[in-house]
Amino acid sequence: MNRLEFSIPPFLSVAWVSEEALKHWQPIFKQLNQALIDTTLSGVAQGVWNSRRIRIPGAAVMKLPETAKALGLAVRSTQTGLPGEKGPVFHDVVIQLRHTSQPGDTAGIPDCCVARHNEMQGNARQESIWESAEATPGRKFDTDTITLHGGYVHGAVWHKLLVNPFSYPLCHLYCPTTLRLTTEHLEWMRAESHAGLADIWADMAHWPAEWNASHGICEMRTPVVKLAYETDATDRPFRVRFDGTAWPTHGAFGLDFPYRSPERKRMTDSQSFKNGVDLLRNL
Amino acid sequence: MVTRASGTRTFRSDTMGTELRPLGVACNIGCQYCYQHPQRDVEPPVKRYDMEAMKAAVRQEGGGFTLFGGEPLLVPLDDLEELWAFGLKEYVRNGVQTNGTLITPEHIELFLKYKVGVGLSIDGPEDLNDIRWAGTLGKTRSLTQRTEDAIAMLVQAGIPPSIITTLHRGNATWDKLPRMAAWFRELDAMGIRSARLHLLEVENDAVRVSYHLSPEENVEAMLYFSALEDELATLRFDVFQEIEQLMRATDDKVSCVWNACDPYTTSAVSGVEGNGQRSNCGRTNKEGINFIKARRVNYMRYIALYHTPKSMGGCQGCRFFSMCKGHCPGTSINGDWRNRTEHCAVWMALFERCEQMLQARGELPLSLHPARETFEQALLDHWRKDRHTSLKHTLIRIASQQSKSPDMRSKGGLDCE
Repeated sequence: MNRLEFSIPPFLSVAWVSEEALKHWQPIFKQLNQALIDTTLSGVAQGVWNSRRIRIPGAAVMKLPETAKALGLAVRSTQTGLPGEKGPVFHDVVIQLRHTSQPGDTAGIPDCCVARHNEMQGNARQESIWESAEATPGRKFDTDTITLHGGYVHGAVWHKLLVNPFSYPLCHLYCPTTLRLTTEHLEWMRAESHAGLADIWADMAHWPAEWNASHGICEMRTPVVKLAYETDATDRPFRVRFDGTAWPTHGAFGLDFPYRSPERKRMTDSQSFKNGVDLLRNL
Repeated sequence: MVTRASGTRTFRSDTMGTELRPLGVACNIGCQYCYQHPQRDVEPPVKRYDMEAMKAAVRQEGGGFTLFGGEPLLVPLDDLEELWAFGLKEYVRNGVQTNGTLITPEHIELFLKYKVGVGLSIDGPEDLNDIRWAGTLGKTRSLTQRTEDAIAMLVQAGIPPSIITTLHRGNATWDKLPRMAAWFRELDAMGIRSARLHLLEVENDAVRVSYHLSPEENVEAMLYFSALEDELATLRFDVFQEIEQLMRATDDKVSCVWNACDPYTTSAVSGVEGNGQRSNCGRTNKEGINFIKARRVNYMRYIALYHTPKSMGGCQGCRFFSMCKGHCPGTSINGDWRNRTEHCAVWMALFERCEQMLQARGELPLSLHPARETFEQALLDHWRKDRHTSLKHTLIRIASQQSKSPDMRSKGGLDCE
């Protein structure tokens, strides 16, 4: 992946596929975000995990120190991006028990992902999805597209719209440690009275999705919403496709992946259209 | 089927209208190149609309509306009258963009009564309009004749329509250009004042193979029509005027394709669907999905294009970048809005021609002006702040900042007075 010598300022554009999808999913995502924050804090406080590194969008981080203090947690928060840069705000937050707190750049990162983290840090990279996808067992590679089958780690897809519960570059997109953490987190959410949201969150990892980057702009497409945001500027387009086995309520029909193909025949496949093309070509 | 109404839009955000599409992209014909086919392939046909929901959405958008489609005259007369009465009362004006095949004397009465400006899409007379296909050759030719009759009726009624013509192999190869010229002369003699020439926006491989002109052919056709314009009494092809306005930084009224456009918000085009849902310009809709407008506008496409080498789909180093801006994202290479337009070579040729023409007149166009890079940086600064501005306003701002510097004023060509 050769990079170009420019960077796009931070931005985030969100386009929902329909009013119905917006009305259905936006409140769920809001609840899910809060549940992910709450359960991460309570999980560390109660010893489910020694430490966690999560990314929180927007102002949600403001309430964190107070909540963490009440739970006996140490919280270290770093705003992403360059100082003084305008645009959407995200915070990488390392959460540890106060008495076992071990400050360090790699706290909350599984050992298997530390090398990827260092590589990305060293190269001042914004995203690592392509490299993580390249390293994923069983991936299919075709020029500028990598296709993966099976459920993925949430942070790879949803990190600009939802709390990223695993805010570190993944060794690969089926990282066993991160998948184990995901399973643990789902169990903990259910134990903490968030069973419904846990089921939705688990299901979302099996929706089809596509990450694609070009000219420093990423477009992330899911069946209900698409996002555009800044990423590393590269000399050619890159695309990672996650084949899905689940499908969300109000997922859209559309012409390209990851949307569901309409069942009826396309106008451009109709006999009348083809007759016209043939006839006019021969006139 | 409408071709596109961008020719009627300007950058003036205070007066920009809304495309009101009661029946979505439903149409009585099936132009082979229609850029709305992706939506047509996906969306179920719209058979009902909600008048009150549409009016409420138009009010929320503000600034009047143009009835649009598909073919908006599929809407029954009574409902057309209700919408245009609403438009006249609240916005003093109305507009419709139509293929003209359904226009009747009753429609013309409504156009007159409710001050409806008519934009009409037709690619030429008789067989030159065959690509605007209606299922069979006989029906296609018959409907083309009805469109021509409609033009005559409109002119006779004192409301000459503006014409939109798309260039393709069916009407703009060298052997067909003389017939097109004769047709435009006829339109000119009838009193048509405005025509917009569109390059074909390709959404389908079969269409590309069959109808797409090469860049050289497009340039040849455009230059041919530019020369023709000199012979015409009143009819003007706005694209040539707009290129000159851009090169002279007097671009406050150019159409939207020359302005920076965020494909997630398409600020120049606000669509309102039959159920009142607001949507984006269909030109950027490649997935066939009527995405809801994003809440925030951004112009990152233009920052990316400015920095990305041409060989990689960008505009780096192009002296026409301030003016062209990579053109409409709907025409981007490979259908990817992050690339520049696939018609780059055509626009480049037209800008070069305009550049030579202005120089011959003793003017210094923006493309050759020593302040060009200052201009570009000013535009980039705006885009970084999620704002867009015209070249004219950029010039005024730069000139006021550099009022003590003689450079901006003494070179000629760019006059900010």
